Amino acid sequence: MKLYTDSGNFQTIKVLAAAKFAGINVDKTDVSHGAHVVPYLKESRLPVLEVFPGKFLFSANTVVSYLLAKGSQQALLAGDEVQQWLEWESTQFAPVAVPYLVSVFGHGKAEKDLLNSFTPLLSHLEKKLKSHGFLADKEVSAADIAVFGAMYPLLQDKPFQGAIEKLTAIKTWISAMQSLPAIQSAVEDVTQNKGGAVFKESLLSQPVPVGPSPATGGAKDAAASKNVKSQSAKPSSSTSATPKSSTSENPEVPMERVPAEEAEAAVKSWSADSKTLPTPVQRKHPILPVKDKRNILITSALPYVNNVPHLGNIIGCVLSADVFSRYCRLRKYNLLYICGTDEYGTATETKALEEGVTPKQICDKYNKLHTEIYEWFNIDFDYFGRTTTKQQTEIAQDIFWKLYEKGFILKDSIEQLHCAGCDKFLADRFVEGTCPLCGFDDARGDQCDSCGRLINAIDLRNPRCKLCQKTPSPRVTQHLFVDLPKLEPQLKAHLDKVYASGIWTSNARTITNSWIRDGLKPRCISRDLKWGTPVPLEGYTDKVFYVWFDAPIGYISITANYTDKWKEWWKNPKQARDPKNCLTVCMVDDTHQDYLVEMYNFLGKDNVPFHSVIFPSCLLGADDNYTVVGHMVATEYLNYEDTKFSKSRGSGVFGDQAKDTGIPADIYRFYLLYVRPESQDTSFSWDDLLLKNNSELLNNLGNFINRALMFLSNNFDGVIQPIELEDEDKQLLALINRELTLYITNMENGSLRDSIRNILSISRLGNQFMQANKPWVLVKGSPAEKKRAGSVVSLSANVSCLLSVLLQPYMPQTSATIQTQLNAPSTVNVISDVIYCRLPPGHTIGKPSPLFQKIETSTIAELKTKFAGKPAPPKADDKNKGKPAAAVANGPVSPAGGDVSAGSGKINEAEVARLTEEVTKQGNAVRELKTAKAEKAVVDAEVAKLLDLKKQLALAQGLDPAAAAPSSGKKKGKKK
Amino acid sequence: MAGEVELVAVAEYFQAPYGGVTFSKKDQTPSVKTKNGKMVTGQTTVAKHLSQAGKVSSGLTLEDQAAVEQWLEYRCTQVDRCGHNGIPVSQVLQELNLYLTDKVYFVTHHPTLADIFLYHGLHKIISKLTFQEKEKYVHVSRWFDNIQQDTTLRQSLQLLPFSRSSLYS
Repeated sequence: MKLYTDSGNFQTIKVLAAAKFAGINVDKTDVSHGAHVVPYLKESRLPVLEVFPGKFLFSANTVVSYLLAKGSQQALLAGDEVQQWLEWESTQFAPVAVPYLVSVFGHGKAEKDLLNSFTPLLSHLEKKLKSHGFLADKEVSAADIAVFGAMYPLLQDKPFQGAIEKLTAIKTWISAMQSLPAIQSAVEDVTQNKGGAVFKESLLSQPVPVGPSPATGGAKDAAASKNVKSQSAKPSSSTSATPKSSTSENPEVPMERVPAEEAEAAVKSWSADSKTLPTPVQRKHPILPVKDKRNILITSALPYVNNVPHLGNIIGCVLSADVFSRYCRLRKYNLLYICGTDEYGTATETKALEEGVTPKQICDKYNKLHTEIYEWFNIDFDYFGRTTTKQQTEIAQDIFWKLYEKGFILKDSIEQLHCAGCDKFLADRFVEGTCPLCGFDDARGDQCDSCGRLINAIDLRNPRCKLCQKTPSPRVTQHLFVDLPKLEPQLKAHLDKVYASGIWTSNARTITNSWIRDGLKPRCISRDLKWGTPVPLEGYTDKVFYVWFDAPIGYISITANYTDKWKEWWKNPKQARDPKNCLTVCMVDDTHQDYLVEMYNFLGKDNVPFHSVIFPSCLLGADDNYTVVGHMVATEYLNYEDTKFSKSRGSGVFGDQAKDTGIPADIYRFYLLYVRPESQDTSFSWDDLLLKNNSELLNNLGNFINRALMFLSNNFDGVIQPIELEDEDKQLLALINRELTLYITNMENGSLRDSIRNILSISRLGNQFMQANKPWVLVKGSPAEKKRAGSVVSLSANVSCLLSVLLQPYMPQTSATIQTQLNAPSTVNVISDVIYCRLPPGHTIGKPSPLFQKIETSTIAELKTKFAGKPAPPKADDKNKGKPAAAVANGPVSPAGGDVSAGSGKINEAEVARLTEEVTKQGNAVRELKTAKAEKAVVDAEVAKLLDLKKQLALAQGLDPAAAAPSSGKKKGKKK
Repeated sequence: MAGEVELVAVAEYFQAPYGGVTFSKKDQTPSVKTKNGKMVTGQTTVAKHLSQAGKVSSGLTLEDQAAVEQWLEYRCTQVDRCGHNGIPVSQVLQELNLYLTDKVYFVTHHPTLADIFLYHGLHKIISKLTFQEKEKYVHVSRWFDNIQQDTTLRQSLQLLPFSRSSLYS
């Protein structure tokens, strides 16, 4: 065992004394003052005991008790009492003693104030010692060794001696301790009989322990939450110090070197004749597949009409597909991006009943709402349609007949839940209950929100009718099934092929494979509903198709609404294709036969099985040469802050609210894509959005482009100067090409999030380039230097031009703004494999202006509050105090009292008792309402209040500290 | 300082009866009565007392026991006292991050009192970190996320979100 210590370290006294008591020989190794021994500690901590190589004990008190235990001196370690003194020494005594010692021996000037702080500590000691003679017991223990060790250097100080003058028990104890041989030898070893001065260097080189801060005195979480407010108001030093560095440091980092050949290649393509540069393809509707081109059909999961999409829905499908399709257009692929609202199904019918209108009216209303939201987010569909069309009926029925004729449709009678109260069969979402698979008690009839698995309504435990809450009973009824087991071989063959050739995110593969591994079962495709595509088969005409049978068919019917030549996209002819035209590994069989159209499905992970199993099976079974999915890009879920988006709780930003936040659509797009849940769930966080906007967009991207263009504008009248490439310029071009290659690869793989980083890397390279060349200095120098300045900024303007194109899929408006400022011709809008000189010398740019606005913390604080949702912790119900809870039953509950003093600090027992009573009362009220079959909205509002109360109660009991944070902001939000 | 929550966590984890703990009015320091009728005071003292009274024996070697104690002290003298008036939060997080680089738990291969104590002590600090900072202290984050999954250890503390994919590097 090695003991590392510097000379004159007073803490070493107790360690050596303990070693003597224990009869253990420690190998004392002298190190210099302030030496770092423990690799993971930032400050020097001495003495340190290396128990065995690599295992360090850096706390002197711990070393004392360890050595005594090791030497089997159990008597010296009398349990809790000793522990209590060790803790007292390190948390109470040392924070007073060490600063005092530093002032006395380090600076040679005793601080009288500190001496006074000893008073309560010494009287505590005196009291204990009076009764026992020693600290923990009647004998010497580890406690005495530890405390005496810390006391020893103080005894060398006259004022301190004065302080203990009258404390007789302490004085007796000190002399008893000093008479022990182990103590004597330890003291001698450390002080070398040189007196107090020996401690000086060691004291000055060791960290000074910090005392308990008065602010954290209230230890209970409820009380501590008082401090939360002050801390969040001004960012604490640690949090504000760290994040900034990432951008401010980087310009100093030297650029990476690329091999000369790579740089030369970059120069060669850079100087290509401007007439030979690729130009964009004009988009002319209707877009139809073209031979010998890459034809891509992009679909994004059809948003369901019964609700407003939240940011998670938006990034999950339409926005992701939009980025990809914009990218594909810039790559000159021939593509069609279609989407539309999914309008049939039980959810629409229940929603219509809820709002008291017809399903058709609901669909019209929400279709309009969805359209407006996507317009605001600049989602550039080729066509946004809907599923309630004539074509939908025709095509769905056609596919059904094809399946029927080929024997893939089974008829079977099943037991279905029938509600006597409503006199109808309860399909899917008309029934709720406990999930038979995971026990979640609010599962829907077709799928469980908790475990995500599909369930049959009949299997639900404790089923209840969604409309009247009565318990439905099973009854037999006739239904149609698609024979998935029979279709399985075809599906498997198709999947094997597209897995190898296409882009399938790992979650899409996993979910699909698990479906197939569990064995496919016949799937019921008819429902006892009115609102849907009618089943054309005799005997079943009073039924409609199950929404998941006909919703994906919506892709086809929406295309049919877009163009009457829809079959060119959907009845996929085979073609011989030149593999060179195909960027991904082609699904080439022996004859190079390939499909003309590749279909990409963008969707959230919950929709995977319908798109990868059921829909393809139906299309393959229909055997009508349909285009079947080739690529599937599925996202995980996006959470809101640390919870879920919830319409009912009002937490999270919903599509129609985004534009009222004052934050531009492009910023949402950028941030949502930056946190796109690709391989796992991610969170939308306002703080993070602020950080990304201010650091990446404002300080990095915006800074580079604006700096270059302003400079060009102010010093060269906005005219691009001749660009003479020097060595480092060539390096820059080559490095940009590397990023560009990665950008393209990432995009092709559906890793949309990674490509953003490539864009930011390019602008970071640009910033470093500007910083290294300092054109603002050069421009004031010799003519040659001025020329160089012109060359540098003109190159930077060209990099900006490239950035504007790469940015277009993510931030279309910003991209357009940059191009206006550059006065760039529309022909630049192509993504090539390498950077070209798109703005030749002589080109005049437009008027530069800042691209991004700084987002203020205060704005974010307001938005956080606004979207925090109902059960936020302020004492919402204080204003209802005394009133029976049921009396405030109407409408959505107003979220905050506003008139409550938020900083009431510690919460007393009475408050807890009051809230407990409130919870009980509210719980009874809810039960009453439920038995009285009150309107759902009313019940929901009351339940929300109950949950809120429960939360407050938890808070009052000091159980939920973090919940207190938004409370200060809440009031602010209300005032507005 | 020790909240009641973490002492309950300790008691539950070590299957000890929780009771008889009182908190001082002044600074909420907990105290408990020992078997021989004496009152002992101090958060690590009470926590250790509870852990030893439990049915679950810690089964630690002397070296590991010492390491646990050292981290308990670290929690009280460093973690609880970082921030406004002294030790920078970043120093504590950096040290812990470095220490946890090659470890799943603070000591040995299962949670000990050290993990419980540091988890509760760090909760307030970690809850204020941005995703970027959490990523910076990736080993602390990994350890913290692991510990908080155990509801016995977490008790009523809020589950903090962590991103498992790196977003900033």
